[in-house]
Formats: sequence, structure tokens, C-alpha cells
Amino acid sequence: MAKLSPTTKSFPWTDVPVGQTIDISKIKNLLDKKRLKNSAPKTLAESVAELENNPIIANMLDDLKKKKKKFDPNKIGVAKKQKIGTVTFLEETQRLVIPKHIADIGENCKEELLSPVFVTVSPDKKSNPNFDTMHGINLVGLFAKHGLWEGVDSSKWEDMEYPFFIINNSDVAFANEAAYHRNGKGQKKWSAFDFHRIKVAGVRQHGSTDKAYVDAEKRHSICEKYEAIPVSASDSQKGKAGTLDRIDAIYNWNHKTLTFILATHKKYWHGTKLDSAAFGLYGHLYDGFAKKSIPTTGSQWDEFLDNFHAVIKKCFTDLSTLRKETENAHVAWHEVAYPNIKDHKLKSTNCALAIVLKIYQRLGGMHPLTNDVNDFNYAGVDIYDYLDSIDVHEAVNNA
Amino acid sequence: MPKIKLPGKCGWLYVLQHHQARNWGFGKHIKNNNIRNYLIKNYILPSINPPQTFEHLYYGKATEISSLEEHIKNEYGEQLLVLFEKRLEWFTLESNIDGQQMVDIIEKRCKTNYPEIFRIKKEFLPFGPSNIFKNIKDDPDKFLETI
Repeated sequence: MAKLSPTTKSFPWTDVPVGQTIDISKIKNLLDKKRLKNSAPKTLAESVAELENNPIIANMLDDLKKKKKKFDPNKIGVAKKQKIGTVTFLEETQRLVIPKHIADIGENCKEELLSPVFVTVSPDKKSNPNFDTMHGINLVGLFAKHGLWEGVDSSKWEDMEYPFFIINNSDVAFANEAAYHRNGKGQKKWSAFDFHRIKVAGVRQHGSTDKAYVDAEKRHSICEKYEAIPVSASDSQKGKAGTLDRIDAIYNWNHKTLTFILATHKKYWHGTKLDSAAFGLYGHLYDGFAKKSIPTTGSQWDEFLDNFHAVIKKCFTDLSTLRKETENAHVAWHEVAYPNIKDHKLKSTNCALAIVLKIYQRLGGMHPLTNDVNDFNYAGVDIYDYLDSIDVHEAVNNA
Repeated sequence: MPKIKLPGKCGWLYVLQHHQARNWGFGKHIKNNNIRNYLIKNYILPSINPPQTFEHLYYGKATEISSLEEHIKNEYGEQLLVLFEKRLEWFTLESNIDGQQMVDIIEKRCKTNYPEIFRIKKEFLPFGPSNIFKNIKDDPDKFLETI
């Protein structure tokens, strides 16, 4: 560990933000251990009953009834097993085959996870144009031809029977439309929270020992410990103090760094929305010091962190404003530093940290700093000089 | 020397009750100091109805005003009106949040987090379109009081 030189000069700003107590029991934690253990699957009847009371759903149902709309259940596709040799691939319907994708599915193949092959019917009724699971059915064919399926004669591999989901429509244009729907149009994609939820619930509800699942559960526990409950970006609780909606960000840092990020946020900002700026700011700060073997405990470290936060409070009020001002300053600085580049938007995650450290240094802060303090300075053009939309320069000059 | 010292860049936070719908709302104005024109342009002209006023007003450091407004939106988001999936700055009537409750929410938060936000004195409220605050920075003690 490097030895710290004494911080002899007193820091001019002493107003340090203090995290406030919040009633965390008011935040609904979907992945709470007790809740998950006691939860029972919802029946369709319960789900439908809940939904029909939702005003958006009620409006949709009223609208259809007013129009006297009726739907034909016979037009829904039918699931059945049949020979894989009937599958065809319409060039315009399917995307280009990606051999690597097939190889990846094959290497990690779990039979239970294979999807049925989605098909329509050709005009002569002899074949089935495929509109989804193209890579899956190609893998099934490859396995069949190469004798990898138990009980399947590889010399007659095309006769292997496999689950089909068949829509009895022979219009090629329909196959295109079906492919479009199955591969994106109108589909609600899974969010980062959905993937996170599956993994955490896998461990807490079903005792999974999968490495990725256990890692996710550990991350969730760290969030819970520091009262930053992960919620979906579409959750009505989003933005409330005590929630965290940037699920992708909790996977960008190792457990130790994540702990530092959330603990620091709790100490200084609890009671205010956990802004995404916290991740880059504290993550790079902690990792930067670790790389330089500078201690991140002890009285000098505590003093540095207090001064660091006094800078944020005085100049930016909170992390949200720090993030917005960082984005603005980056564009203004980049336009001058790199006039020949067209895109001036902020892409780095250490820019807010660099700005706070630059201010800390200008105020005579004596603690050793991470290398970020020298970033965003190109040929003498320093981002600090572009923080002019708020009173940073005035505050620093009057300190 | 004035008792209240204002920073260079200041802004407004206002609380209002919609003169027809009766919902309570709030908002900020930090681009310039002219709260009169802001009231006219954003609330009086769109409804072609003159009686709209700001019931309560706060003035102070621009970054603290922005943070305060964002905090209210975040904490009370479930009780705000939603239009085209966007949360508006109007409380629903069902929320039962009125002007006094909004004052309590704002001032409680200011006491703990925003020392450079000040309350406009009662005698200048409710605020209708006038130039009374034109020179607020020249004599802050006349118009403002500490929360």
C-alpha cells in the first residue's frame, strides 16, 4: 500500500451531504426472499380478473365490443409432431443463417429448451415454410443426420418427428408477416430487470447453483443491504428513493466495487433517487485507487470522501445535476478539443469523476487522486473550463 | 448588506391550482428570472383565461430548484397525472394532495437538503402576472424569507 502524505491544508468547503433514513418497507421488493418462498403461481382466472379491472384493458375490451368484433379460434395455429423433412426456408422470410449461432446452441444444447418449429403451409400442401426457429430446426436436422439423436436412424434423418406449430395459411406474404411478428414487430422485449429476476428467483425460489444465477443473487443481496431495491424501468416505484432501476449498471462492476458504490450512495445521498451517475463516479474512484494501491479506509480516506462530496453539493447540489452538467460540459469541451469529429456526446463513464477531482485539486485538496483527474484535457483544452452553465467557476474562485 | 445572499444563477419553483380542473401542480423556471412572462406564456395564454396564479413561490439556487422539482416528481410519481405515458406535473384529484400538503413536502425537503432555496413572503402571494419580482436580486430580503 502507498503511504499517504498528510493533508495539512484545510478544505474550504465543509457542507457535506448526509444520507437520510427512508422507510424501506414501503418499497415493494419483487425478489424479496420471504415473498418468493411464499409465492404461489397465479391462475389464469386470477390474472384475467386482475387485468380486466385495469383501465387500459377495460377500454380495449369496450372498444372491441362496440365494434362487434369476433375472433375465429380455428385460425389459430395447431401444434403437432411431424417429419422435419417438410420444412422449407423462404429466402425473403428468414434472416441469413448464422453458423456460429447454431454452433452455440449445439454446444450448450438442452433438449427441453428447444422450441417447436413455427411454419405455415405451402400452396401444394407438401411442405412447410418456416417462419421462426430456423437455427433450432437446422440444428435438429444436423443432429439427426449425424446420429446425435437417440433412436433416430441417421440414414432416414428427414423422417425424424419433431413438434411443429402449424398455421394453416399458404399465402407467402403471410409467412413473411408471421416471421416479422415472431422476430420483433409488436413484441415486448425482455428488459435487464427481467433477466435479473429470473436469475435471482432461480436461486431464492428454486435453489439454483448456476454460477451466473448465484452471481446475480449476490448482487441483489448487496443492493438490498444498502437499501437500493432493484425495480424494472417500467415499475410505478421507479425513481423513488430506495429503488434502483439501472439493472445493467449493477453488472458492470465486481462485487467489492458495487458494495462501495451503494454504500457510498447510502452514506451521502440516501433519500434521493439513486442516479446512474453514482456507478461511473464511485466505480472508477474505487477501482482507480485500488489500481494505485491507495488505501480506501481510514481517517484520511474519510476526510477525502467528505471533501469530494462537499464539492458535489456546492457545485452541483446532487448527482443528477452533476450528470447533466457533465454531459453538457463534455459536448462544449469536445467541440473545441476535437473540432473535426462530428459526435461530441459523452460516452465515457469517468467524466463526472474527472470533473469533481479537477475541482477538488483546484481547491487545494491534498489527497492523492486517480488518473481520471488528468483526463478530458487535450492539448491544453480542459473540460473544467467548459463548466459554465452553472456557478462552478464562481464558487471555486470565491472559495 | 442583505441577510439573504443569493447565488449567481437562480430559479423559481411554483405551486399552483388549475383554475378550472382544480388539480394542484408544480414546476420550475430556471432559464431566466422572468416569472411573469413564464406564467403568462405557459399557463394563462394556453387556456385563454386570466385568473391563473401561482399560489406559492420559492426562489433560490438554480441547481437546488432543479433537484427539488425532480425529487417531487420521483417520490410522488404514482400520484401524478399521466399523458401519453409521461408523468405530468399535476397531482391527480384522487391523490388528495393540496396546496398546503405541497408546501409541507417542499419545505421539509428544503430544510434538510436545499439551504439556498427561499420562500416568497405571503404578502406577495398569490402571484398574478406583474413585474413585482423584476428586481428580486437587488433586494432579496424584501421578497424572501428563510424556510
